[in-house]
Amino acid sequence: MAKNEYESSSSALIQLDLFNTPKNLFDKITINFFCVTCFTMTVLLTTVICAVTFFRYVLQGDLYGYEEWVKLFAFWLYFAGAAAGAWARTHISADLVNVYVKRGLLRNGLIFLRNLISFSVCAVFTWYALKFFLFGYTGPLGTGIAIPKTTVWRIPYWAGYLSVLTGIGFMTFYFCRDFIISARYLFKRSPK
Amino acid sequence: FASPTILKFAGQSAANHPATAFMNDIASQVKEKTDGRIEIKVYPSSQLGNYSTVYQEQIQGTIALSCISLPSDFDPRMELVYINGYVNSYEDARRIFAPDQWMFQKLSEFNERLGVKLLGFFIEGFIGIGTTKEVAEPLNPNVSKGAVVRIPNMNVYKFGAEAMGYKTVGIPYPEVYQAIQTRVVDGVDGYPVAAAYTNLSDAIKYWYNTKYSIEFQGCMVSEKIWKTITPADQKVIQDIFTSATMASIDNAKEIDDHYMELMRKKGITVYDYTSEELAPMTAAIVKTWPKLKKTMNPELIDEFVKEMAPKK
Amino acid sequence: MIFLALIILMFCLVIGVPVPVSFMASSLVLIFFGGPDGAGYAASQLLPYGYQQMNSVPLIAIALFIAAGGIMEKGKIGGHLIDFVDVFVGHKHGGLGIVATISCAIVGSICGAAVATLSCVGSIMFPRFEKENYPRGLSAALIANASLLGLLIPPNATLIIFAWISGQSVLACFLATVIPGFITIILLCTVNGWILKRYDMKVTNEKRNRTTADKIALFKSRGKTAIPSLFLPIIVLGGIYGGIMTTTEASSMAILYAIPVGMFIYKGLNLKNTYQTLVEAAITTGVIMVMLYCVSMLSRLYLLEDLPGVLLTLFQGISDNPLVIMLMINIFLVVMGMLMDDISVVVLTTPILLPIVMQIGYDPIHYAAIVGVNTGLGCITPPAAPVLYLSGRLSGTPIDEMMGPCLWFIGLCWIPVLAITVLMPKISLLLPHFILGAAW
Ligand code: NA
Ligand code: NA
Repeated sequence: MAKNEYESSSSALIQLDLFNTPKNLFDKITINFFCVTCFTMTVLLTTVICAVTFFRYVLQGDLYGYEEWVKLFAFWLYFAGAAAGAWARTHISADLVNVYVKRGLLRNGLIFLRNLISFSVCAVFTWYALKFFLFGYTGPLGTGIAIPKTTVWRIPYWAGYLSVLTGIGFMTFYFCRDFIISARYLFKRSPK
Repeated sequence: FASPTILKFAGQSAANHPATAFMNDIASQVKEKTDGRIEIKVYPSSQLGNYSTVYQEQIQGTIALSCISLPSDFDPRMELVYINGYVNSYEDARRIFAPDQWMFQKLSEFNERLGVKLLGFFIEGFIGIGTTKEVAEPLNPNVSKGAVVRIPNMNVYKFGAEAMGYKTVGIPYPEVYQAIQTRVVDGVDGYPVAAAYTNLSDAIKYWYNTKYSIEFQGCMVSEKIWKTITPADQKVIQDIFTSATMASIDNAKEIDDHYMELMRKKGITVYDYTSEELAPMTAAIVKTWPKLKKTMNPELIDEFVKEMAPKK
Repeated sequence: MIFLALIILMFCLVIGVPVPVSFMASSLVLIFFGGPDGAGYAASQLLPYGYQQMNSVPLIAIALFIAAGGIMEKGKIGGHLIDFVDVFVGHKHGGLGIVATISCAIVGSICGAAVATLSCVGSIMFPRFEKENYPRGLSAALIANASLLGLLIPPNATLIIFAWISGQSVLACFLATVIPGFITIILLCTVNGWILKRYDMKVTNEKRNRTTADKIALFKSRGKTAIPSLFLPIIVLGGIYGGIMTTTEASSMAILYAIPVGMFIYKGLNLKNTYQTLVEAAITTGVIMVMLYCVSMLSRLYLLEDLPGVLLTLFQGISDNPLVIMLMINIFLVVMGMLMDDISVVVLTTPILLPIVMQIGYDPIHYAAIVGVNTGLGCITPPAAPVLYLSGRLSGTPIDEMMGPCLWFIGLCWIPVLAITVLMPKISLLLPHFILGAAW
């Protein structure tokens, strides 16, 4: 299983194709959830913002407080996209190791270290994101009083915070997957 | 000697804005009058986050002081201060906002519940309407103004502007300038004189100083941090804020007049009005107050109407 | 501690930790060991701060323009538009590079976000560059550089933010960068041709032999099929400048218009690839937005550590000559641009630098143009070079292949444009003067 994840010519983890790679059941459910969320949010944003333009220009009317909805949709788009990006390994990085370090123990070690850092740093931020979400969910005093909400539609902020927690949480999960693969690769030296 | 206690003072206005001068002045007074025991470091221009995040951090105790718009995110009742039509002269302001009066007491109560203490406030000046075209009968609420104005995302401004005869749309704050410049909207509601001049003077042609609302920033301290300050120093700081607050109201007229003069120099047609001239507009706005019961606490609105309605 | 945070940032970036996670790692150093007494900072303030920074409608335009870029590409709309530009300049030496640069300027003027321009033009141009045997390092670097033209040709986000912080007129700031933008277009085209000649690169260019009659025939045939695609810039620019909609609204209109055109006229889109295109665009957006989220948290900590102040004191100790201070401010901006993204640099440095700039006698609008060019430069200077990385990712080019050509573009385009902008204030003040009557 693990060796398929590596490009034949290098020890780097390959990017995964969102739409064609066979997935296990868990990935199928989660990745589909993120893809559908991305698609739905893009469609909703386009529709709502076009409708706002139409209402103002043609009917001189207004979709009052629409900002609050589109910002919420945008956050789910951003973080569902980021989570799926972590699964597909498309996060931006300056990949100098693959370019300058020859195949071998040093390179495998550096890739292991990089995945270890990615996973552990992201895990710490998942913890922060959880506390951030709980702050919105239970209110600033932790008592359910004064739960922060938007001004017009009174949408609770935690609806947006939850996207951050989900996004960073799943990024951590997929970085952990890569970390385990590279650990196996390092300690077994070279899978044939 | 013990090293001084350093307090972060977060603001939202630009470095050259009167509110920042107000904050800097407070900072230097505090340092002087506490003999350097307490030092205040001013962070203008929303450097520490916008008003909502700054307030949140004050609840948590990671920012000490703030001079910011009152956020209604945690408690919609704080929108109270932005209700249109209850103050339209500097004399009114001096009376209504005094620390022993109803408004200040109410706002203190709301803040206290969240672990934040209201020390005072900064009043920048009055809010009017800036437009790119002449509007029909600016003082008659019964005439449609023939203008679409951008309003801040709050019911109080929507009801106020509609009562005055404007059509309203919500445009996100960062897009307002472009929206005016390109005539997506005909004007803005909710801008104080100074902000309208600094941000929009290239785009607007008319300024109607209809004073339906006041630009109000609260000065708050985080209770968690306040508790760590000695009672003697607390009193020194509180006194400095109280006198700075009342001074800001006196200052507001000068700021408004100054910026209206700058507007005239720039070729903007400025209309300034007396309280008497504004009375019909005010009366029309006051009639919309009960509508706020839908989104704000009904008892609070009843109380507000009782305290604030024009006395006959 | 700030230096340890910077070292950790560099180290993570070099070993290939994803950029947003590198920012998180650097933040963690300060969360644990930063602060005046080394006791660290409360982590609880960071995520809300980043959230609030990102909680902005104009940012949504980036997501929608990236989606529109994808739709333009898959729906064969961008291709027709670029083909039309090709009729006019394709036959010249280094023609495809000129086509790419001008297309970036047109799309960039619509977009206002470099990454959106890059993904739209890049996804169409990279296969064509490959077909004409362009070295992929050169094509990826050229498009990365050209996509920044959108930062100089209004509207754009960084200057709106600059104007907002500094209290200057947004329109004046917009106009200040227009002429430097046009100079950059010319220099990019020239340097591209020069690199091709100097390294004797064998680029195919069958269009070289086009006769005038060929050109007229091409203009007619391509013009006709390009009409529906030409409506897209008309809707967006006409919509914005004609006062029908804001930038964000124009971006959503672009999608609304492009989907049916791509499906029914150019027949490049079907339901399945529309879904896939929008999902892929959302992932590109998500990857960028997480980076922005992390950089805004990190910038906040750098600000609390007073990094700009530390560096500034350093510079002021060296000289009190205005030109030397301005030179140092520029170096300072470039260094900041190397460390963080364009928006964070503007947010971070404007309140601190503008008073000094005005004190030594520079016009704030002139400074707006300097900041505009500098933030453009900052987007392609590693380690924090989002545009460069994205170009590498879209074209499948390793960063090291891009570095050579990119350094030529920096040295022969950006640095000269920056020098002209700094030394000749009238270049930036010309349009504000004649259109708005600003003093000079
Ligand atoms: Na632009
Ligand atoms: Na950079």
